[in-house]
Amino acid sequence: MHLHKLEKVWLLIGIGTLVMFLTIVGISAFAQGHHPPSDLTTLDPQKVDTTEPFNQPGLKKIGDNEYELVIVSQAFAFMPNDIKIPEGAKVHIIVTSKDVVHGLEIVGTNVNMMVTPGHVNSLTHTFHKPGSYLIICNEYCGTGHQMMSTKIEVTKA
Amino acid sequence: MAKEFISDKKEQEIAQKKEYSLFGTFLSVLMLALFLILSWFGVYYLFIQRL
Amino acid sequence: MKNTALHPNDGKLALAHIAVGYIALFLGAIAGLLQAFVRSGTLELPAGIGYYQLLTAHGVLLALVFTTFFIIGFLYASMSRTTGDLTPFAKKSAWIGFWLMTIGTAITTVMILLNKATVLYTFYAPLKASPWFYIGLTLVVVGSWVSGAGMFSQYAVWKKKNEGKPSPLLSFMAVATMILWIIATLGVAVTVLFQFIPWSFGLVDKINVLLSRTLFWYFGHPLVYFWLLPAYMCWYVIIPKIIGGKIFSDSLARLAFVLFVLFSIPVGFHHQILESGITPFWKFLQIVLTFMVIVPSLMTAFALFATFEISGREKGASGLFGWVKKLPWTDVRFFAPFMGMLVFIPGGAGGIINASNQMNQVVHNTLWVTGHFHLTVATTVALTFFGISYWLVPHLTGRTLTPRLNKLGIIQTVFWCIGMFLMSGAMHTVGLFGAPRRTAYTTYGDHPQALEWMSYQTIMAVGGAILFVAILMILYIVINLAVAAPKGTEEFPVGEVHEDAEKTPLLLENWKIWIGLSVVLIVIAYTVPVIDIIENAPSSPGFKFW
Repeated sequence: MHLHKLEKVWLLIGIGTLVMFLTIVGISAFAQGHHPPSDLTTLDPQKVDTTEPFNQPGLKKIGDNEYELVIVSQAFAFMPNDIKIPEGAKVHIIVTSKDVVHGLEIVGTNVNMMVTPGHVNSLTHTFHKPGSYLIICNEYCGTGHQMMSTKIEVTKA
Repeated sequence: MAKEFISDKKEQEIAQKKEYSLFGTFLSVLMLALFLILSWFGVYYLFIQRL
Repeated sequence: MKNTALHPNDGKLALAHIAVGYIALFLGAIAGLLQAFVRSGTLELPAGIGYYQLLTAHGVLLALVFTTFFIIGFLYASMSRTTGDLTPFAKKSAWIGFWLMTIGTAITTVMILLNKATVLYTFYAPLKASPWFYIGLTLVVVGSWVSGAGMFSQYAVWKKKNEGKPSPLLSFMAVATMILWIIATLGVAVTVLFQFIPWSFGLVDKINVLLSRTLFWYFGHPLVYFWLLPAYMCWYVIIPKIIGGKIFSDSLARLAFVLFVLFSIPVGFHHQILESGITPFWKFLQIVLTFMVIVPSLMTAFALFATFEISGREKGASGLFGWVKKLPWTDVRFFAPFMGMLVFIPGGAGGIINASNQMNQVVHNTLWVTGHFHLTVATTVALTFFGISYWLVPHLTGRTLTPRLNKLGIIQTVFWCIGMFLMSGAMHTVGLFGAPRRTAYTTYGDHPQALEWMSYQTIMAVGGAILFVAILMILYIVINLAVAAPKGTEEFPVGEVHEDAEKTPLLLENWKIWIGLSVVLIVIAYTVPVIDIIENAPSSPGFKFW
């Protein structure tokens, strides 16, 4: 098929740009570990309360300023409710749902994941700056969806 | 409809040789690409900042 | 090519579809206006109506009903215009399809209004609506299949009569669009028929949530290309005629449509980037395929600018951008779709960002995404469909687009663009700050981060109000064109291929190859993860939280 000379150049530039985007996110994901949240762990969505670690939602210290934060989401709340961590803490967030699909977003951070019943999802985030971080449900889950939120207080070290 | 397709081989050869100047088009799509690149890196920068 | 009116029966068929489409547009727009006011905190809904109920109605009526009806009406009109009067079989299929879709729409709308299906238009399990909501949607899809069968037969009959000739470009594009639609809707049909309907009737207790989401998004992304391709038909074929130019390249236009059929389907995971149960590898593979589907749009951008430049130069334009002045800016049939094209630049840029793997974490489920598709479908596609209506409706009703209505159309387009600039611009910005989509008015207990969003949500409401005025204007124009404008003949513009363009290779019309390749790509992208999901993803009981 005949292409105008400039169209060939354009397609090379355009496709080159797309390849560049893919290379950047590909390296960041596969070489530097910045994969999007893709946890493969499953559980019985009706037995969340008796399944480890969700039988004890909350913050657990697991290392030097390193924490595991287990969150259970259900219409229309996150458990635990108010969380306090020191500045610079590395937090492994592990979450599941007891009922419908929720979303877990920590406003102003890259923490953003779908919470599907029967599945666990997880992300790690380091809180560099102190302040009050809003955690919200960002997937419609019912008439009280807009009330579903909690906070993380990051205190000065 | 058939008339619109060039059946005559000679005519087609001429057509192949005659190319329009499409530099305006080329510059327009380049501006489009520039917009794509700038906005993409803008959000990529946000992602890196929020790591 | 003849430019007399379509056969009255074909015209009636197209008009019926367009009429239902515009009724849906009106109802959906009312829901949209109310939502914008609720979200900004300026309005509390009277007892009984819920924000999420309105949101469900808005999504279903605009994204599914307005688009599908308008598109099928436009495709049938295009087939009749370029391949001749519809055959009795095509006509019959089209009417059966029309009534199935209309009945389905009515059932679904009633269920939403009765508050039995406040599950939003994506109806994510395990939120469980009334089975009739799903049955209504099924009828819409099945109806569209019957309509598709009519178009395919019309196309086959033409091919038989004109062996060895490439089909008329508009008909080729209509067929490509319907092929894409049918392959795509198979996914949603499977999940609705085998998962949602038995489950909502109580025949089974549980539903595999991840499987239902995967099947939905197998459909959900090509759905947006089903909206876009008819707009591309207008840009590639109709617009050249309106501006007094020629089609840049018949073959490249066809190639673009073929690439859409190939690459717009095996890409659904880019809507599930942040989801458990799918490995990063399979997500990334589909993201690479997603980037392939950008290529035909890059080709389209070049072809359209080239059409403008060549036609301008043939009219004596000089300099690099002299051709811009030769475009018919005061002709709404050009101006409205052109603004749609322009808006597709930020729309497309946002789309590339959304699909960029982990970058999705910045924008997923924020108002950024709502802003994004209000540029793509609600401006690019909608303005192009309005642009088509300005000549198609009078063409079908034997009336004319008067200078007054043309001027009003220009004002309508400007209103739409201003309203959308405010609304979508505010959505994009506040989305980057983290404001969630699909969420009623809330300050999250006056949390400082959420309070920062409020002024943007007010701008969204101002934009929404301007858009609603624009909706009233387009309805006024369309009704006028249908029943009141002066009698006459309005042209159905169909562009011709440039004399210098090459002959169209018949390979492009070999659907067996393209459908076969499309299936191969789908199999590659989906087989392993879907088997994994069927084997490993747990099932969940249903919930009704509204």
